[in-house]
Amino acid sequence: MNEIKQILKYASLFRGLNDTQLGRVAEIAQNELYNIKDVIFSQDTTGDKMYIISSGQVEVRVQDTNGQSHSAIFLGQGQVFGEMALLDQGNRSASVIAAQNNTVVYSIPGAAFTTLCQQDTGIGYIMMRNIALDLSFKIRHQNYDI
Amino acid sequence: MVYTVSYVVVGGKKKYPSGMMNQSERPVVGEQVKLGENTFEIVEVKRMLPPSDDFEFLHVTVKPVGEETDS
Repeated sequence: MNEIKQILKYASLFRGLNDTQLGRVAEIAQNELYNIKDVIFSQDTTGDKMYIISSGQVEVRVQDTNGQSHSAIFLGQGQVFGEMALLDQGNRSASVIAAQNNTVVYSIPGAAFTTLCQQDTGIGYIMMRNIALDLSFKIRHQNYDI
Repeated sequence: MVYTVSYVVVGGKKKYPSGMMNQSERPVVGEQVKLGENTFEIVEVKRMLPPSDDFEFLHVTVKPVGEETDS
């Protein structure tokens, strides 16, 4: 439990949560281990989890309308992915593949996350604010990468 | 302090994917960073957003190592 709390403290998505609140998030998180080229999820599939990278890197790949797959970005420790499908209920907008051996991620199921945010609105407010800030940061990053 | 860093690649013979990661050390110009299987050298570090809750948000420009670049 302490290990996952340390990982959550390292992710900007969970900034502002106190130790007790981090513990409640940690209770619903599960660790998953991937090796290089393992597919974590595929584009256009339904998504019911978001992920926090504990160690290693993942590659985000996007398939265009011609069916060509392009590497869009590498995400490393402390980064979050898969949160969009959790928020808007849409399909996955990209595929995510482990880019290194022994890549460890923590997954948070959407249903448990929603229940937690509804039960503890303090956590809910901070998490929703942080998800908005995280998406803002990613849009700013994209603007630099044009 | 945790540094949330956006890495964008400039130059190189092809378009390289960018990167994002959190790290405990502030990136420094001249250091190398690995994104996927490729290694890059940091050429610029600047603040993207004001720090908050012990997090600082940085934009870092990198160039491929071992390639001649125009930048």
